[in-house]
Amino acid sequence: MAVVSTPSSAALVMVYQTGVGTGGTPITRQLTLNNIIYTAPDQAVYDAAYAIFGLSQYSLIDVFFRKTNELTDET
Amino acid sequence: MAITTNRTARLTFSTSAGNTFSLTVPQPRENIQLAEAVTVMNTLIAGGIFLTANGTLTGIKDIKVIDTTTNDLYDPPQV
Repeated sequence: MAVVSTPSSAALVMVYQTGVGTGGTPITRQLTLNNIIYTAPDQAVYDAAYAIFGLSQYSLIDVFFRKTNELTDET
Repeated sequence: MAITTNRTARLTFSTSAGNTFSLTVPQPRENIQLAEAVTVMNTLIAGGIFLTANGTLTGIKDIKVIDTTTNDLYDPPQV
C-alpha cells in the first residue's frame, strides 16, 4: 500500500489575548482565515497576521500556518 | 442580563473575479486612522497569500468600524 500525500488547503490561525482570567491566566481566542495559498512564504503569512492585529487592541500571541494534505492510496 | 458592546473592523477587498472578500478584525483600537487601515490592507494585497473562491485580492473596496450593542433581556433560570 502506497499512500501519497497531496497538498490540499492552508489556513492562517491567529491566537490573541482578550483579557486575563482568575489566577492570571490569559484568556485567548482564535481567528482563522482560510483560503491561504498553500505555498505562501512563511514570512508573508506571519507579516499578514501581525498587520491585521496591528489594528486591534488585542495582542497577538501565536501565529499558526496550518497546512492540510490529502492522503490517498495509490496502489 | 446585561448590555454588552462589541466592536469590529471590517476590511473589504475587491478580488480578481470582480467580487468582494471581507476580513473582520476583532476590537479595533479606538484611535484607528484611515491611513493605518489602508496600509494594512495594501500589505495584505501585496503579500499575495490569499486565494479566495473569487480569486486573489486586488484592491480596497471598503473599510468599516462597526459597534454592536446587545441588550440581553432574558437569562434562563439557574437550576
